[in-house]
Amino acid sequence: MTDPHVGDEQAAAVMTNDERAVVIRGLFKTFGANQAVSGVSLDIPRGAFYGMVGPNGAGKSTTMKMCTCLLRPDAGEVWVDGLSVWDDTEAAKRRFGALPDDLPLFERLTGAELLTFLGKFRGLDDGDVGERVPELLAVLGLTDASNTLVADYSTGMRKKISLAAAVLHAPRVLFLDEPFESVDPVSARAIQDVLEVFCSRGGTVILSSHVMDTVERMCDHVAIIHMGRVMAAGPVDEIRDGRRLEDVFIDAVGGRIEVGGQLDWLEGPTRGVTSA
Amino acid sequence: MIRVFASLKWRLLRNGWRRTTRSPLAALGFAMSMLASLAGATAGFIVFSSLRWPRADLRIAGRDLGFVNDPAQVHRVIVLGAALMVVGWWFAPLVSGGVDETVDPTRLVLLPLTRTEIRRGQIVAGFIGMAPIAMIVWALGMIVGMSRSPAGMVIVILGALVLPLGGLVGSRALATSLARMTRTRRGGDVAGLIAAAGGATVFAVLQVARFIGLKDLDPLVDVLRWTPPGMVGAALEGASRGEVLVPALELVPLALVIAVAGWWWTRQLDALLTNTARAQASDPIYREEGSIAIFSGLRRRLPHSSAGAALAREVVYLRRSPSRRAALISGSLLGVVYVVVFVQPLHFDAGRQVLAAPLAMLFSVQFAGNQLGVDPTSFWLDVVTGAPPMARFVGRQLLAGVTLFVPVALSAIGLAAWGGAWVECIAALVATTVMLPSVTAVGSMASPWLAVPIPDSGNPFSNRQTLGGNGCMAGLVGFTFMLLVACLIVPIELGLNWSFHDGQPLWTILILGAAVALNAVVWRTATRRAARGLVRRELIVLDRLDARLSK
Repeated sequence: MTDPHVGDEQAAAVMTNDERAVVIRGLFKTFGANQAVSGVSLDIPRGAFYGMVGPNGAGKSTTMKMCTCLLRPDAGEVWVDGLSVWDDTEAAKRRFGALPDDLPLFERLTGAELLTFLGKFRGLDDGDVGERVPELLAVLGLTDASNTLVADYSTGMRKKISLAAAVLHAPRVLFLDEPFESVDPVSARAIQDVLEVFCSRGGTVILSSHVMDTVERMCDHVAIIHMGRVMAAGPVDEIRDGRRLEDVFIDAVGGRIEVGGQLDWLEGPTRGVTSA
Repeated sequence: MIRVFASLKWRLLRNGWRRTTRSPLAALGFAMSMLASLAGATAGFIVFSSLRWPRADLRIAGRDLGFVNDPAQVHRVIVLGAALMVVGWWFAPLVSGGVDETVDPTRLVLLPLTRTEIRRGQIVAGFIGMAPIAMIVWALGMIVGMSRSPAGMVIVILGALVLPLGGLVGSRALATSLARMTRTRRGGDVAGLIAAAGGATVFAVLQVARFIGLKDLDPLVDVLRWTPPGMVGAALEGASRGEVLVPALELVPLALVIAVAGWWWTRQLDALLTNTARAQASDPIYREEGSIAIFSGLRRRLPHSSAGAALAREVVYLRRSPSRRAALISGSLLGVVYVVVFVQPLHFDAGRQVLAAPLAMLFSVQFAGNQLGVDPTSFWLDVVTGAPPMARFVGRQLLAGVTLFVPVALSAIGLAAWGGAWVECIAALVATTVMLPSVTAVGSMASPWLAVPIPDSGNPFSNRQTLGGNGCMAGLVGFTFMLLVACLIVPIELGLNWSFHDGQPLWTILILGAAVALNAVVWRTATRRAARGLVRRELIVLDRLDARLSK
């Protein structure tokens, strides 16, 4: 299990270790009076399928954003594939792809146009773009919608086109923030298949989720984050220790809310609205 | 990379136009926008290029522009044109609400682009589109009109280049700063207000300029002449006379503004791209214990029914929603200006000026005729919860009513304070108050057919839908509503004014009673018809407001 309080010297030593795709050291972020991330440190092995789990507001998305140059940390450092994301930003952005939760897309491009333009912005030549875009649209089940404007895409289609955009340049690391949220099972399977292929070719996937079943099924490593801190991190089997991941998670983040005798009214008759 | 930005901008525009032309109404609005841009570009080119000749008897849109190009006239036209080009460009992208997606750099944040590449790309993209091309045509007109001496030609060309660049760089710096402000709710409110107030001021100046002669603007020209864009105008004027040194120096202030705006833009861009998280809420909004949230405070007196909830929601949103406040500010500012410039050339006495105050509704009526587009998400909630159609309109009518009443009240009170016609002021306010429910109910009736989404987050770049042509459509709706106001409010206003002046309290009571009765009939009939129309068109409206909400 990773010690979340590794010092700078050790971090420097970690940097030379080729086995780590991502190194996070001492990340802090505060919004007003709210300490969103409080000293997160993680080592993410190359080729891992790494799950970051935690309740809503735990700091997962904030940590992801600080790893992908979307949010400057108050303190701490992140290296992706050996490159500091804040000192060598453009080079680091070529090494990773990201699927943030709430980033805007070019709504008035079609799916195919969006991927083509992103490929050109990333410096891919016409041959690569012409080959990769139709293939990605096909494996993600978006071929029929390739000429539809992104503004008219459903939530699941937006997730899939964002994932296509994230892998288009063949990055070494993928950061995915809640990739399966609001996605139908067919789309979820398509996304999962792409991620498995990505990992099998040596890529590293880091995904955040609060769906324990997904993480337990897909990930080989996991970090439990609560109130901006790493409560536990390591291989899934080691963290579970023979129990269900959900039980370990509940124990780590605190007890459950007892509903008890509340919400009795749910058993009552349906009440109509009062008309105007 | 610059080619990619240019190609992206062109594709965004092309797709937006195609999407716009799906709806016949939007296509009509779009065609009118194209015509307006073409007319604006042509008129500007003719006006500026005509400065080359000492006399140009121009008439545009039936108005004699009186272009006997004496030096004073050349001075005023070139200084005003230069200032309008730069300041108008600063605010145009903000009030157009998301038409130019390349303005929003957060869409590029994950790409390995340097800040310099993003800035260069955005500048190039900024010169592509109807409005920028119109500005470039203006600049060409300035070159034609002011290149009267070989010595000054270089200065003229430099000046004609620096003006659009100043407009564009300033516009990008402002837009990026405001986009950054929207990371917090309060910042978003302020950004929305700045965009609305800035845009309204530019359009208000244009309204004023339509109704008064250019010579009347000389005090404004005297001030603008010493602003950086005005100094470029004066430099063009000097260069046309063959001067070089002083005009060259007069280009420097705007060049410095471009440098400072560019530096500020870079700083804001960096902050925006590395702080994409929205700040999290700090203080709880409600402090009352045990109250039902939407019926807390003064709202607890409202009926606890679906109509009461709709009313309460609109009261809450009036306080918290940037788009509603922006609508109120821009509608009020433009409305007051419109009344003043409308009555000015008619030589009305003080009393009749005040009675014209209901005309101030002109720039707010688009919110009365587009009640469903102000907050598409709340309409979606209405559909999902199956709220009674009548109740859906009651709250929206309240919002529209406030948005219509404030400009009328400001105009009436302002004009009464100016001319002392307080009796007419009371007549105008009472008649407007009594008949407002009818006006808003007719607006409800039109709303299912005229629903156009208005961005609600306060982020000028957040609108997902194209807005092409909506400005022209809003104008058409506005003038239709003016007829309605003339039919419903003016007769009652005149009757009340007569009864006040002649000391006829019985007539006052009779007129008010008749107005209330007429209002009740019109309101009930129109709102019921609106509810029936909405039931039939609910899903069409939902799709028009946001295609993804309807899925």
